[in-house]
Amino acid sequence: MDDKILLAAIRKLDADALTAVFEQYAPLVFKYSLRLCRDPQEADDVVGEVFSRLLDALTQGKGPQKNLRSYLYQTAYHIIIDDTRDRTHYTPLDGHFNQPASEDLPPEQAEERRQFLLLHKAIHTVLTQDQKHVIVLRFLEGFDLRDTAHILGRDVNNIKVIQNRAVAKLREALLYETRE
Amino acid sequence: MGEEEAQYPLDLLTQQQELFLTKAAAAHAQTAATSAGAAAKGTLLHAALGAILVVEVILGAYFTRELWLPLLIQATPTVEAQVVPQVKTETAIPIDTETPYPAETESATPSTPVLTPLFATESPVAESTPNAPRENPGKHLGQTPGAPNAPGQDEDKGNNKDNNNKDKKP
Repeated sequence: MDDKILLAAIRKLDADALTAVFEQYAPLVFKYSLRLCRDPQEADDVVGEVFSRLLDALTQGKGPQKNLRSYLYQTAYHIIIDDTRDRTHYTPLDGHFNQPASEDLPPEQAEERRQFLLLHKAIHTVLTQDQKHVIVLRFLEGFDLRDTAHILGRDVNNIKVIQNRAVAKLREALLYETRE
Repeated sequence: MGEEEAQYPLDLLTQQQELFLTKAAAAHAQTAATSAGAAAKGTLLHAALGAILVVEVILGAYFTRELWLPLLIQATPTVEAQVVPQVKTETAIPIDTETPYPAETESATPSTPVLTPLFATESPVAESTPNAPRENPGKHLGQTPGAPNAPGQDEDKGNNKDNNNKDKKP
């Protein structure tokens, strides 16, 4: 369903439209949150909080005006920033998903998975919070520079600077990991 | 790049969906109730404001009547009542348009003036000689000899008047 049609329907608190919105964006928000929180339970809490705040905003006549997806990601970002800033618990991704182990995958997929895990590790170890969010939104969630700037509440030029620095750090970290 | 491993667990997804839809239904019901109450309150408020406005206009007109009432009276054209004289046909005096005024009858003698009873004479005045003195100069005026003259009449004037009246014909 088109976002514009969905927006018009959810403003009226239409049950079918809200169900469609949840089914479409809840998995995406979960995935985004998981990339930043690295805890499925915490990511699930973030999803619940995101849609709860969406309902509160719609009840008050507020909420998204144009871009529903950007609005949901922005809400998730703020929740993660407020609640998981001091998070220290880290759970490996392999232990909480019904995913086959690397040994069970074909060689090509196993290599891709290894590269992804390295990247994921580097994101969370060498990057700052802002750099982490920019990399996740830009390269893992597929947002453009304008939407990323809108979600993070920053200027587009600032996002470019953050992105460039983050990519440089990641390249250096991955090269270091590769050499090892 | 391995994004498929970040799948939302089905049980967690279902639970979150139920919570979300329950809250959405409650919010929808609350919004509908608030809208109905606001509409009713708005209608009642409008009615109350309208009534207050009417009362204010009436009270304002009442307390300022000394200012506008004279102007209104002055501006209002008045219709004077026309008094129609009532003609009483029952007691109306018949107007005789045929008989000239004064009425002339055959019995009336030209030389004998028609006198009212107040001035009625006992006998017609006899013709007297031009030089003969009048025995009773005021006799033809209905005055008895020795009777005091009528008010405002002197003997001399009375004589003159007699002569004047005598010469005059009706």
